[in-house]
Amino acid sequence: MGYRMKNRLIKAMGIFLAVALMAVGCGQTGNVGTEQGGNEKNGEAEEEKSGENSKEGGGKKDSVTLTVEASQEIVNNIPYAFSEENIEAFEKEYPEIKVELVLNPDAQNTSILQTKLASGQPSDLICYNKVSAENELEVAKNCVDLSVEPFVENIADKEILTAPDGKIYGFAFEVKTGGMGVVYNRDLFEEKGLEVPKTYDEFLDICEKLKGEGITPFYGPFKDVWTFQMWTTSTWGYYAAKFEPDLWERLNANEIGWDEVPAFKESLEKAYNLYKDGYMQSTVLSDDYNSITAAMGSKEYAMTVGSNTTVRDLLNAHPDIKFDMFPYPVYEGEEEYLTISQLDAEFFIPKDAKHIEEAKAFLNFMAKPEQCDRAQNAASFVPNVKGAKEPEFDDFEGRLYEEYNKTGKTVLEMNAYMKVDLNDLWVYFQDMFAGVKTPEEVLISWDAAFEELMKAKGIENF
Amino acid sequence: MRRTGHIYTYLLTIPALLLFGIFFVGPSVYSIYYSLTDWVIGKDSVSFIGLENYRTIFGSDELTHAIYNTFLYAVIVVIGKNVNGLLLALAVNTRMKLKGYFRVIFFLPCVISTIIIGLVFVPVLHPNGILNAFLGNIGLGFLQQGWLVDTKIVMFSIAGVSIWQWSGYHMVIYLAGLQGIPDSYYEAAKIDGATAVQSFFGITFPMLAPAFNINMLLSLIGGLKVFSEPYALTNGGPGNASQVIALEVFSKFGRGQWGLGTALNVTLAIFISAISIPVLYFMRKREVEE
Repeated sequence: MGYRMKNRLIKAMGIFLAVALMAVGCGQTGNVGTEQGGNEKNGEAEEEKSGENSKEGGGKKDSVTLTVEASQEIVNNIPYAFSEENIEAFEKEYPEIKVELVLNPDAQNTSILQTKLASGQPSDLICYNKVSAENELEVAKNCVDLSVEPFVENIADKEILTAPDGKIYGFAFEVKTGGMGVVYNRDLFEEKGLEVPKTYDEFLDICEKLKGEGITPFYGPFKDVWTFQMWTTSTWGYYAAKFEPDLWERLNANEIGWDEVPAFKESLEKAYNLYKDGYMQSTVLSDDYNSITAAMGSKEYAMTVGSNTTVRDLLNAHPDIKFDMFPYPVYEGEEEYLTISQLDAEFFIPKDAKHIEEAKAFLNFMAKPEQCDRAQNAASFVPNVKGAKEPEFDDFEGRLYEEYNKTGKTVLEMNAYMKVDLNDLWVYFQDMFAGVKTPEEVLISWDAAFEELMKAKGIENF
Repeated sequence: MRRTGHIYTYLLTIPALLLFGIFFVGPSVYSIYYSLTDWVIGKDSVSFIGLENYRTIFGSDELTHAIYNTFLYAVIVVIGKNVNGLLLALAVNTRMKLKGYFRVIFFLPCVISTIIIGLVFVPVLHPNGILNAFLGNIGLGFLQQGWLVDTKIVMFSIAGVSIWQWSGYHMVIYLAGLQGIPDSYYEAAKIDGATAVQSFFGITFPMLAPAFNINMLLSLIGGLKVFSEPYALTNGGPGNASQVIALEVFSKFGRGQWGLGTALNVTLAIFISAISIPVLYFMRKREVEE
């Protein structure tokens, strides 16, 4: 091939490549918001559709896509907040509005939401746990004050939705019920003549008896980093509520270190000793949360960590076995109190949302008794909306509700008071079961990590 | 010969240079700056804090452990992949029947996604999994381990899976090198009375220098940048036992500690450059000398 020929060929290829690159570039711009994942849904394409009039709510009936953003976990665990029937009913009443769910991976959910809020490009509605939203998403700064919206008048107990500054920034269907505790096979307990333990010694006696019968007393699914923390967020939550009510405030103000609370160490030691003494399976770090269903159904295990959701899932998977839950008996008197998690699945409207009026219309629509009743089809919950029907609970949920929630025998979990991500602490729990750290070292390491995280967040005294 | 410095030659490089500048050089330079800041999610301003992030990295037990794990993993996989790859290449370079099938079989794992391989190996390496059951059944019960939960061996297990996956890839490069060696060299050596071992160290090994160099570099850089294998098999666990630098970067970014995550990334880039460039220089020199 002659030089000139080669040169021409190279030029032709160069031009072809340049054209191809431009075409690819143009193609990508045009596709934003249609082919990409939910995170792109706030793109320009949507803005074009909605137009400037969309914020006025009425006016022109341009088509609007209302984005609702949440983590996969919250959608799975709180199905009534995302009832398809309700969303369809809303779209029927507001034909110009189309609701679109934007799902984030659980591990990245917080940072994705924080990034979108910080960059001024959030979804129209955010669904998040109440106290965590106040701390992690700074709703008072980033979200619309909804205190005077019509839906607030429909709320039965406004206090539940009120932020520390006295304003209401969101809406949630429910009054928080149920909780976390030791999930157990009730049939197995009855078969072996065992009673629900009232003290830690009784708990150990049960473990010893079950072990003697060839049953592993406690199933630890601690391969997932978040599973063991159900033990600590419950037991530490109870301890603080009953013995040191200002403990979280002092920890968050750096007046006391995590390693200076002997009760924390006590709870960790009790859990670790269960493992060390053979009351848990030896493979705790190889078994994840999803394995609970098979393990507890096999009748080789009697108890595990969990919540209402765990019991409900077990009952669905094994309808022939009765499962139930009792509070952790780690500290004195704890058996009488169920730890409840913070109010979850509250909907907030970011100040920078593109369709604030439509988002308000969505909340005003949802906060009506008929929507609340319809949401019960997805899962039972105690409504916080005036005129809504009482739920039809399963046996165990009804009992928990009557025994603990209605009588006020509940305490709030520790996680509700935290201002930073707790993942490091959860990783140290795994270190403990791996034999790398003692319970004391877990607390020392976490105290150092906590200080760094609080400092990075710019919190006073750190 | 006419010079090719025509104006179009340079103009045509502009799109590529622009892309390279915007998507690689720019972010790289920016990342060095951001690694010197307290950039975290939710904070209104970003302040310059000098080398504070680097002090945090080298002052933290967890992060130094991740650095140690990264180097340990790199050393194991460099040795494992190259020894295995070379042995496989030698094996399938003979005149045996079905060598074509064996080449395909050995190469196949590297076309499978590492995440899929992770999903397959997690149950295999479970304490009650297939590997331990197999060892027990053939009378090697004393070798049974908590492959992915014993903090002392977890990095070796992860490296083992990676060696299994990528040996075939390195085999192909060695095979290409082996097939480039003229038969006449071996014939001459045979006439001179050389043994098979002497032929290997006198002919095969020196002639494989280019393949060896590229394999060493690829496995070394891949080893230092490791992410998918520990992510899929253990997610850095149990605890922090199998954390590596890239996983820490991912976790720091995921949790909004962007300044610290960037500093870790810059540290990794420095490590890779500081090791790879001298290795490349040394090997090139050796190649020329050969």
